[in-house]
Amino acid sequence: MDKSARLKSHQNGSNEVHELGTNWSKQANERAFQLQEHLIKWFDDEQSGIQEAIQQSISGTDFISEDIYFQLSAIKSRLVTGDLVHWVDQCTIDRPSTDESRHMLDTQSTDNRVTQLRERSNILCIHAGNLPLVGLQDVIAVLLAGHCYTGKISQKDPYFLPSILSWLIQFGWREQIQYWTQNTADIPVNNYDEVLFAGSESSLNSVRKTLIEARILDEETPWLNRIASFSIAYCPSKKAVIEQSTEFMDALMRHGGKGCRSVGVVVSPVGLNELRIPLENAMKDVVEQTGTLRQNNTLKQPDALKQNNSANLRNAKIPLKEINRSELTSLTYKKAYNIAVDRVFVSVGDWLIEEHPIEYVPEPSNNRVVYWVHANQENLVNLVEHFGSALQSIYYLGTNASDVKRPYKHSFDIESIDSAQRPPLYWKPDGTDILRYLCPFII
Amino acid sequence: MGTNNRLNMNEPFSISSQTIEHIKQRMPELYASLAEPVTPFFLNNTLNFEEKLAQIFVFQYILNPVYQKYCTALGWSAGDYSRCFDELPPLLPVQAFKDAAVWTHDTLVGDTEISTYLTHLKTDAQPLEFLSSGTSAMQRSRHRVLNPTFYDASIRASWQARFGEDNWIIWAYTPGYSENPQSSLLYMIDRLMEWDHTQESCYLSLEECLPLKQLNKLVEDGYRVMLFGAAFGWLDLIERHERENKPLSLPREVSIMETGGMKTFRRSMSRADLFDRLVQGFNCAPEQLITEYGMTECLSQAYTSKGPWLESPNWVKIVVVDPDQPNKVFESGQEGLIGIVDLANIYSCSFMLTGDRGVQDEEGRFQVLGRWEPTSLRGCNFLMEQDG
Repeated sequence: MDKSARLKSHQNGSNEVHELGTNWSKQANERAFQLQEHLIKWFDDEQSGIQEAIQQSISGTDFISEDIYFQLSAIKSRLVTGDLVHWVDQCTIDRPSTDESRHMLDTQSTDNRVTQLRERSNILCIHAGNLPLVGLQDVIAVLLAGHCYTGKISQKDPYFLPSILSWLIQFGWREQIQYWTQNTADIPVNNYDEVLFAGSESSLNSVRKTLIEARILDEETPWLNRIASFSIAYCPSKKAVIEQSTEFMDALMRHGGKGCRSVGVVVSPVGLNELRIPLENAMKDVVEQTGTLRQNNTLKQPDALKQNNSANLRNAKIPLKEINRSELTSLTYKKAYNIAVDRVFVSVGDWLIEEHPIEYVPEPSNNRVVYWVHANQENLVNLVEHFGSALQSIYYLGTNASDVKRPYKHSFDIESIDSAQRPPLYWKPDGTDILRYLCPFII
Repeated sequence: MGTNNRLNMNEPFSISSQTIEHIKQRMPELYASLAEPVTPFFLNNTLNFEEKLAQIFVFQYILNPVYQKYCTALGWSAGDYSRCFDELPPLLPVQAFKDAAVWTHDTLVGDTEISTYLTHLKTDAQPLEFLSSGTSAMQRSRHRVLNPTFYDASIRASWQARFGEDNWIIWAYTPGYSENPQSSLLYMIDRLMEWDHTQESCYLSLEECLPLKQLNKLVEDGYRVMLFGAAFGWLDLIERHERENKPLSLPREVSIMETGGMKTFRRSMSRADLFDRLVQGFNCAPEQLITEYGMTECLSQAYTSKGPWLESPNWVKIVVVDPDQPNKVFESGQEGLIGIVDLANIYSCSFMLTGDRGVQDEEGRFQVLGRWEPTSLRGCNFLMEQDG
């Protein structure tokens, strides 16, 4: 083929891609509107099964009822805001592209992109269950992308996703929602094109091995692994802690610190000793609130679902689990250790904030122990590099994100502390926009 | 939150004159062993294990500020000598060897420094100091050994308890001690080599295959040989032999000591897989493989004898405890955190809580099953459920 014929062919191909891409955008947009509407109906319709799922989750899982209501409210408020349509809009093919994305597109063959645009892929989602409904974002992304969904539902959160999936099927999503199960052995063999995995690095290999041995997947199936386990907050001053203590405590203590968006490390030019009193007061407020709620038996707040505006969510109480004897003993030992090694710490209830030297900050693993690092922004950048894939997000306290120096390597968005537990539905776990990942043809 | 510092290390640490008298009178054996060059206290045969443990507890409570603060915060005091016969004193997490100076300190007794009586506590003494492996960017454990003869005695007695009085030739597939004087393992290997009266012990080149002719000659001459090395080092050696097409077939008189180092930057495998690979690679019997369990923080070692179970010498007590309540000792068969009472650690801390997951059998032998993963994990760690 001579040069002009090749150019013509390429142009034809590009036109085809453009046409297909425009169609995809249109269809994805329609899917977003529909999915948004159907999901909101699941929240609002008394016959949707949501109430049964809530009751089953309250009685049959480890989640605290208020955590469940908070999570449901947070998701609903984002649906009402129009997050799904916005997500697709962000990914639309006509969006101005960056040099990097243009280069990526150039490296793909036109035929490949046409195939990708035409084909519907089979996606296997392996959901985590550390927070209520934590797997919903993956379900949404697969459906918006136009792919087929199969899910391994977490046994820790077994009621919500099946309820939503059953509900959506009634509204015409049967073709895309293929199957879900709690048991790995029951996952059907389905020639999967992609696996979306969320979990710990240590569990990843064993899950993969199990699925390959059971011949559910082959060695070549690509995986998207999300393994981050905690987030960092940068606290520039004492004033910021005092003024944003509610948001700060929410980021630390909501969901018992279990979410990967929960803050496990705080970096601040102010030492922990200097902030002892405001931090203790803020933590005590949370602990005492829980005590009062428990005493008045008002911990369960079904009305919270109606509070789907962000102001109400911001003021939603942070429930804490009652401490058992074993946890109390464990805490006593941790405190004794801190005393022994002369480590500054703040302790309220079964929560600990410990100050660690910048040279040796371990990866935070315990969900009720937060590490305080007395250091500046340069050190924050180094710490981000140090934690690598274990780190989920970086938040700032204060008014201006641009005050925080960006880490060089990772494409972290510096987020406001108040978004820690209420991220938009299009947030990027482990820095990956799942919708874009599932639709690599989108620039 | 109360004050963190019950004892300020920046101020002189002192005890009353009564206390030294108390040590002399209540613990004459311990005092004598520390004040004079006699049999190390942990090898003393006139006291039983609990009596020695109780004396060491009081001694370390008084002279080791880190341990004292830990115990005090948990409701223990120097007067708890008798309590030690009913329950274990608090086990200090070995992490403390990274975070603080976990050794006994010279202390004022009235107007006199205690080092006047116990010379190893002198601040100008030049003790051994071991560091755990790692790079300069890593936080490393620091174990100051104020009286090196105690470590030597422990190495020798641990070895003899497991391998008897026979002479062993030591071949170490490790870096040399002289280049790594901070390694407690290499110090131990160096001592074992020193005690070999044949003087055939040596460090092997890490860049070459095993000198099989020489090894076979030693065996023919009736010697017993112990090959020392880290797990990943042995795997490298096997690969080297395979690459160079020099098949290994280890004579029965040769044993292989695996000293840990299962997980490196380039490979991680289960213990069972490692052992299969070593048996296959060395073409030897499983009984020829021995595992050593030791750590920088501990002056004594445990060795496997038959199968995967480790046995420690009689001055060491291993317990498996509840990770959330380390004062609760588990029954045999239950998995938990490994706790160690090593009476050889006289000048540092004898009561340690490791970060290792383990299990004990009814005879008190134990297995190390890996690192303990906390249950209250952050992130999506609940994913992998046992659902078949």
